[in-house]
Amino acid sequence: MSGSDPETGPDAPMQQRPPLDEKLVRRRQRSRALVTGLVLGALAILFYAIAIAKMTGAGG
Amino acid sequence: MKSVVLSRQAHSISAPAQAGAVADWRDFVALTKPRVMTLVVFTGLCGLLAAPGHIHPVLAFTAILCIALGAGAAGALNQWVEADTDALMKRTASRPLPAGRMERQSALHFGVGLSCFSVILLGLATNWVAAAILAVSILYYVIVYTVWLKPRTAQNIVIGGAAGAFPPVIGWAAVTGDVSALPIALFCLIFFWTPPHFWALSLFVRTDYAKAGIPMLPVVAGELATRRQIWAYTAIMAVAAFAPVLLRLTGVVYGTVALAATGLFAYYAFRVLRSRQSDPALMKAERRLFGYSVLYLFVMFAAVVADRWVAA
Repeated sequence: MSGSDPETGPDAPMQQRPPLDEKLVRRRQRSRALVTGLVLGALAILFYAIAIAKMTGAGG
Repeated sequence: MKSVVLSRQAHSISAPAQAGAVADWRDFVALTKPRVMTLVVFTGLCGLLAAPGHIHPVLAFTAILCIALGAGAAGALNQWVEADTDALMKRTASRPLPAGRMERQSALHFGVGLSCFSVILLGLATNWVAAAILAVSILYYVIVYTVWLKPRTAQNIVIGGAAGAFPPVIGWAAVTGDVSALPIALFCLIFFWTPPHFWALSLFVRTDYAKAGIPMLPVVAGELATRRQIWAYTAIMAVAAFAPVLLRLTGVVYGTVALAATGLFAYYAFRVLRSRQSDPALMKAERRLFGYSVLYLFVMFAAVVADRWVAA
């Protein structure tokens, strides 16, 4: 009874052996971050294109 | 008239989302009802293409994107309001909120954020008339239809149908900055098409609606009354379908397509009127009318665009 296993006991760092649910959450967070990044990138391009289209229209 | 006492569940019955649940990005896409959006985008695009005048292709794309995002936002807010009733129906029980894959607050924030974004972007990219109509359509769908009419009256679909009729008007206004006779005629066509379309569906999923306490016409007034109402609204829809021809807003291309397509719609509606099938699994005529009604709207709007292009 000398205390808990440092790998699996209460003192073990959470990152060492994440439970399955945590893995799922991390995977979803990563995929959401990726999709959010792609959407923001697409919006940046769209806003640029809108600005050009509006300027072209105003000039023409 | 048969009176049916409908009880709505007072407390939350959808599966509780896990504490700190992180919904998948696909759940947010599902929240926007992408299948419903197809028709919204198509009718909005047709309104835009049929409008006189010119719009830069990038701004046209942005307008259609905003119509799609606005419809998606309204769908998300609809699911936020109806999470509990969705849990009671087989057709909707697997949606992200009733299935417990997403926290309700996430759906609310997503819906409100997307609504504001779509309206502001449409206003900045095209004009504020189109943006105002988009805002009205979102508010109409969420407040007038989802919150007010749907749980209270069997006429929910009739009045609420206006929410789905706005896209061609928005598309038109995005080009012209105003609303004239043809977009109003297209609005009327979708408005009067909605009751036969939804009541055909509600005939063969009525047990689902009854279970959820939603007073759809077959649940409240019975099947026979619903079949008669489908027929009556098909007749009114036919008048709306021919209105653009009678008002000389469209020509022979649209007129010919309208005659054939509306005639077939009336034939299917008549078969529903004559049918006495009460087993939802065997309701072939009702399923056929529902399936054809979706195709009908696609064909009619494509005909409007084709007609305008031929005339130009």
